[in-house]
Amino acid sequence: MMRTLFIKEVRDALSSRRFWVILALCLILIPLGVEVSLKDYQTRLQNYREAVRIYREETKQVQDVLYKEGAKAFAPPAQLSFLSLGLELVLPNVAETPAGRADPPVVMRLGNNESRDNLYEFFTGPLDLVFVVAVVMSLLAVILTYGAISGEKELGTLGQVLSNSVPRAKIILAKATANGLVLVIPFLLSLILSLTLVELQGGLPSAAGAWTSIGLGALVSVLLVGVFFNLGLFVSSLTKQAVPALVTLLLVWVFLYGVYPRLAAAAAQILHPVKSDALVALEKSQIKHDIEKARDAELETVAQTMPRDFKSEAFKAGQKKQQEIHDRYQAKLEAGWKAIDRDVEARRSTRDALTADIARLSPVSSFVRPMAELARSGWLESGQFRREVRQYEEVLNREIFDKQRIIRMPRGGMISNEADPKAPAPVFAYVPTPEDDVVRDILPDVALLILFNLVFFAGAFVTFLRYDPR
Amino acid sequence: MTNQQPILKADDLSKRYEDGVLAVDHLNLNIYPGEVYCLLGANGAGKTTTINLFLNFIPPTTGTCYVNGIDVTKDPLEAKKYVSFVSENVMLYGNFTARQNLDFFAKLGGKTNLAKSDYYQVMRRVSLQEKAFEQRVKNFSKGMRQKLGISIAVIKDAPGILLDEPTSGLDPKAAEEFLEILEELKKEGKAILMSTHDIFRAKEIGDRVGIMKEGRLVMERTREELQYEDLVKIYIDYMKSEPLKI
Amino acid sequence: MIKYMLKRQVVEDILSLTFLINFVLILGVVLAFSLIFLSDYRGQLADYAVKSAKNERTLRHFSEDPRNANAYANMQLVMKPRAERFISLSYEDRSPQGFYFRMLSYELRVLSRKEDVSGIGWYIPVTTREFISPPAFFSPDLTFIVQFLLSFLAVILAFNAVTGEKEAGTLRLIYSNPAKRSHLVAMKYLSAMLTLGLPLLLSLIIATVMLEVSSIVPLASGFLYNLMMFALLSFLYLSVFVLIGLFCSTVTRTSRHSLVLGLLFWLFLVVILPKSPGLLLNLKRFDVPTGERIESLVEKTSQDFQEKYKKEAMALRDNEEAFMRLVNRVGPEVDQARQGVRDQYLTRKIAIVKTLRKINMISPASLYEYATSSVAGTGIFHFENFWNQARQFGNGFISFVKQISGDKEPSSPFQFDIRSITNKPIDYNAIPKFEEKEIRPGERIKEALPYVALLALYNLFLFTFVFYKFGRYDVR
Repeated sequence: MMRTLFIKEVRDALSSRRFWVILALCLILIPLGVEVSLKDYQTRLQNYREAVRIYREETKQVQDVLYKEGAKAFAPPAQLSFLSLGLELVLPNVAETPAGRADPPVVMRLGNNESRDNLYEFFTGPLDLVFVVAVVMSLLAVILTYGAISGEKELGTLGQVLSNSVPRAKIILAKATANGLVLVIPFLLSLILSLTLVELQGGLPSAAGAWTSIGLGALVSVLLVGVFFNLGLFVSSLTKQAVPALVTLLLVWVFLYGVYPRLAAAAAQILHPVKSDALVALEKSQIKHDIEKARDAELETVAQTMPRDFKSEAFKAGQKKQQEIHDRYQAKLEAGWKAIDRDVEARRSTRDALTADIARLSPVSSFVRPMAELARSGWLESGQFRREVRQYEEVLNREIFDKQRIIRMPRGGMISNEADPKAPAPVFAYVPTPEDDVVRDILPDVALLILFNLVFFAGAFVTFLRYDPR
Repeated sequence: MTNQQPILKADDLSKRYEDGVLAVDHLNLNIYPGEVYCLLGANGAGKTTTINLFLNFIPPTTGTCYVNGIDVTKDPLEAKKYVSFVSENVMLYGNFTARQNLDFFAKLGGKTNLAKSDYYQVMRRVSLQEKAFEQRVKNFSKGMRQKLGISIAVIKDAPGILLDEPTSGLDPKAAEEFLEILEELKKEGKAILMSTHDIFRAKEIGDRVGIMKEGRLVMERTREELQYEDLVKIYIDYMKSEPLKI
Repeated sequence: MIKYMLKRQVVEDILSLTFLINFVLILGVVLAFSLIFLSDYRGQLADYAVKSAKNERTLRHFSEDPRNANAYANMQLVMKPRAERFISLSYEDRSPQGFYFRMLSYELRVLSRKEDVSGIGWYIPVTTREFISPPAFFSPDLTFIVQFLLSFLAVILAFNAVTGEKEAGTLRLIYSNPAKRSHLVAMKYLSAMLTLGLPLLLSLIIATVMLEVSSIVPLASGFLYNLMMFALLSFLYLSVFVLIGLFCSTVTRTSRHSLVLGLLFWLFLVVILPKSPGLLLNLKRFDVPTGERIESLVEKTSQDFQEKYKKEAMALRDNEEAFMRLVNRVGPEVDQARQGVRDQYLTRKIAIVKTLRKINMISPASLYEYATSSVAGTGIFHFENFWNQARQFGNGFISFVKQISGDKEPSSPFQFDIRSITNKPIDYNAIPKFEEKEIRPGERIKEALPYVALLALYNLFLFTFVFYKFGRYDVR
């Protein structure tokens, strides 16, 4: 019985050209998207290499760091960004100390150069795999299934079938599996084709972790398409006519895709507000201003007592005292800033976690997020970069900037640095997030997607058991 | 005939829809093997609802339908093994050929070992044109579709056959051919329930004729009795009379 | 005759479940978008206020003693957030947010979206865009709702205009009466437009009320005017898709085929085609150097100048006055050359974007987007205009400084001579301030005209085709 039903469904799909249309769209769009994303990645990789090269040429020694453009740290573009461009153009990928004279403690300025240079931003985003799956494949899933049940009822064949001794469960299972294959096989074929193309152009990283990521990415994609597929079946079995089913499904899609994630973010910001960065900057600047004022007052006092004679003991003692004052206030400033930073970071990560949790209720978010993480163009990687930058910052401060020595005199002063100017400048080496961390991070989303699939299919199943075929 | 068990039996069957309409009102039917029972009535009299109740497409409000002694609501899957269905407007899978449709429904009906020649034989029997055997159904005329519908019933070879206004919209020749097949099936011992409002054909083919009005079976006559009474007059008289009060 | 047909059609449409679902969900989506916009806008206004305050402080500092403006004094000239972003966000979020203007020089550097220079030397981390953002093609503005959602609904409403009536058998019934063929098509068209237009207008009204009530958005009459223009453009755009639906209905035999054809058209025109220019970005002729490269080219320009004037400078090294005169002569030249390099590349980028936009003009969805962003004064049009204003401001500011310094040129940063600038305090109110002026309505409309014309052409062509096809349609 199952075999008969299954063969009929497959034949129906093939003869009504649904399969061929889906195959054509997949075979064209997916490799095209992957190819274009790959080219984009290669461009960004080139830009990255050039930026690093230019920097290394000009900044070889400590004095370059102090007196020229400062120290810079670059994050390489995500190798698997053809899977998901993610937030490559949004999250920081370069950090630099301020050019020219910088007061310690030096805080590296994070920025994103891509957004300045990448023209894709002007063309409604990239055509990466996430786009093709989240938009095209899910719409195709909906178009394939919206009439699965209500359509057969409208046609009258459902009644004819049910006049036979056929369990309803088998009917819907056959429909689901046959149409599912019609959708998934072209997708996987196109994916394999794309990966082959990428491999031919030498684009696939050889590390084993990359293949795990790609495999997981394919799985997650299939799961998302499955969610919309089962949702289509469910809505189809809830309606008497096919067209309202389609309209409802599209509006649900728009809601899940775009509206809900933004609402989630807005909700999280309301529930757990984080100060805007401009305000944080203002606070920090205020603290610095106050501390410097107090410090300068003390320095002046000491400066008044210091004699003109540079070589005298009194002068050297005064200098030592000034240095001590300077260090004391420096520590105060660092502590103050660190406190603010910690507080803001903590609040921000709570808010972001809250956003992620609320947003997860939309299967599209549960898809977009893991794909970005797997492609290494998401939040995990950005967090990693920040952590590495902070570490590099500590190295820079320890070896260069904290070695600043000041002398304050009644009229003006002098700043020098004790670090050896000809010593080689500390170099930044980026270590990406370990594979295990990524997999662990995406597990809840994958579980949610599986759950969505099951729930929607169960809904379709149960509703169909009581469906009126007349 | 009457010492056998009825294949299709409705026992005090009633159906009231959610909007309050009483579509079937305490209906009692017994249809035995080798007989054709014609259910006459105006549109909305409850004929189609009766058939839907037999097929368990809707649950009855009270009463029971039995197919071959099996309660259709308690064991629908078993019951459906013994009944075939031809709807008023036979709609099949348009992209499939006649044979492919027949093949699919035959397998659903439990006949899994048939060959192409078997299908051709059945389609010939119902006078479907040879060239239509491998043509897509979406191009078929109504007559052709009805013939294909009856061929599905023939090939299932179930003891009971339910037909919902099968000759409506058919030209006289096609209707004649259709009824000839029914006659053959009756001789093979099938129990046939046919709803129609074609009085003339009902008189021709029906071993028994029942008139339904507003859900109730108001009259039943055998063929012998109809030889002496004018069915047309009876029918029209009933239609003209006052609506039954519930 | 047509009056009855129209009435029947409208009543039939309104009573259908499709209309109800339509209505409720369009309303819902518009309201949700309004909420999102309000929450975002609040943050943007706050940020803009902080930056403006900072600029003000810098200028006050400068007015106390112009020599306070040392080599690194700067202002951030940023685009003011406008309520029209709700109508059409376009590239507002994605284009550069403004310029970093190094005072006393001709230096105007593009402010990359995430890189914000506070002037105190440390970083402001990435702000609101860091949360989970949907893939880039989705923008929470009204244009998106119409461009994407309502166009789909337009196809749905129109696809069975003809095939549906044929299948119901009513087509023959209608034409057994003295009814002109064209009337049926016209009536279907009108009723579809009505079915779409009503929820749209209602939602716009409710959204406007929401924005007004929130009192975050100052709703001048300008905004209402822009909203009206937006509504008109939306009707023009939706008309295209209603006609596409009608078109599919007249060229296929069954409703199912018509729907599938219509959906494929829609998928192609609205989702896939607008992305196609991105594919061409990989071609050589669209290659633009990175920001780093440009800055290093700028540095090279400086070095070239240094080389050029090295001998002269060395010769004058003992004569301070003459040396300073040389610096004052060469300084501005160098500055302008440096800025020229930057300007050249920015111009080139904008030109590339415009070329690729032209290619996109096949898609009515893109035409509509360009039209609404022109009318709302957002997007690349806005950025170009802003750039001009920023440049004018920069030049004006330098002229002002020259003027108050007795016409002595301030020197370029690498040959620093703060003494050429006066140290007398100046009146804060006399200093030119950067206030972004809105683009005049006339100019905005002019910018939108080509897109509107093309949309109208689309409409005309489809109208003609549909009427022609239906004229010969087989009603059996």
